[in-house]
Amino acid sequence: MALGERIPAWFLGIDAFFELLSIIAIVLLIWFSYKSYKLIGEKKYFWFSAAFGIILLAFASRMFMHLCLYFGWTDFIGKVLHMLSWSAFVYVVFFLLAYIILFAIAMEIHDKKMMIAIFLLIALILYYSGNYLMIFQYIAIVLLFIIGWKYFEYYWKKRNKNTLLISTAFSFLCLSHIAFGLIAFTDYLYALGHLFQLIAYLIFLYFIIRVWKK
Amino acid sequence: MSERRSKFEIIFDILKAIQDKGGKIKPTHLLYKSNLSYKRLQGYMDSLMKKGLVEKVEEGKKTKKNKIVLTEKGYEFLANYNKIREFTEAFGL
Repeated sequence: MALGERIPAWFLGIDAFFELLSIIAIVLLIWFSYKSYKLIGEKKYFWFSAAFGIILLAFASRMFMHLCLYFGWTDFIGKVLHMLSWSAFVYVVFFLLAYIILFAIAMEIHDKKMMIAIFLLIALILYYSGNYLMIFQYIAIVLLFIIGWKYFEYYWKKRNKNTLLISTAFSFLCLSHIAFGLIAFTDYLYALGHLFQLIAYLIFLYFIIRVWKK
Repeated sequence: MSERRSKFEIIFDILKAIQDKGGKIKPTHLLYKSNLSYKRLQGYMDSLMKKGLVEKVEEGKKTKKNKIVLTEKGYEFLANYNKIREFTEAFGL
């Protein structure tokens, strides 16, 4: 997570490593969906790759922050502290935008104006909330729970093992935000949140490998 | 997440029909093979040509009959069809 959060010292560096592994899965998802978009030319593939592209940007900025903390580049951080505090908000907005796009894809919502309005409304609420990091976690939990549930319903209908994998991955992402949302209780939840997130992206990675072997 | 033949599957059926004919097919044969109405097939053909998956060529010096030809991108689509289908089905795209 961003600066100012309760990051256990022993977990510094490990979080950046977890994020690097997740980035590999995200890059493959982007590559695959963008390749599909180029071949088929349907916008939904573009939006799908855009959602994960935005997640990639958010992950990369977060990993950079964690590496700064791990290597003790505090002078550097000090100089750009103001920028970093802003980047934390930008990171939250990136994630929110990506989750809203994935939500629209899963729920088959095609009304772009409505989705833009929802995104702006949530972004404004976050900005004026006073604790945007926590509010973001709760919003992410709701969005990911609905996405995970929708894919589970889809799996139940189709009995497609790959869809079960997708549903499980989104459920783990939801669990990770639950852990991050409860971080005030114990620092260990920060590590647990990262672990859940890693499991989610490893499931995506396994899914991509399965598909690629076809 | 729909039940009927998706746009993606229809594209595959059209391209596969062309491939099965050696990469070149007459429009009338394609109409029969694709199981689509003339109007719908025309819409798909315009879209596939725009995407560069097929192209129209004229054959025969005197008769100048049109034929639909599968492009390299079209062959690439067919080669990757199973992967894209798995991906599409899993995410319900």
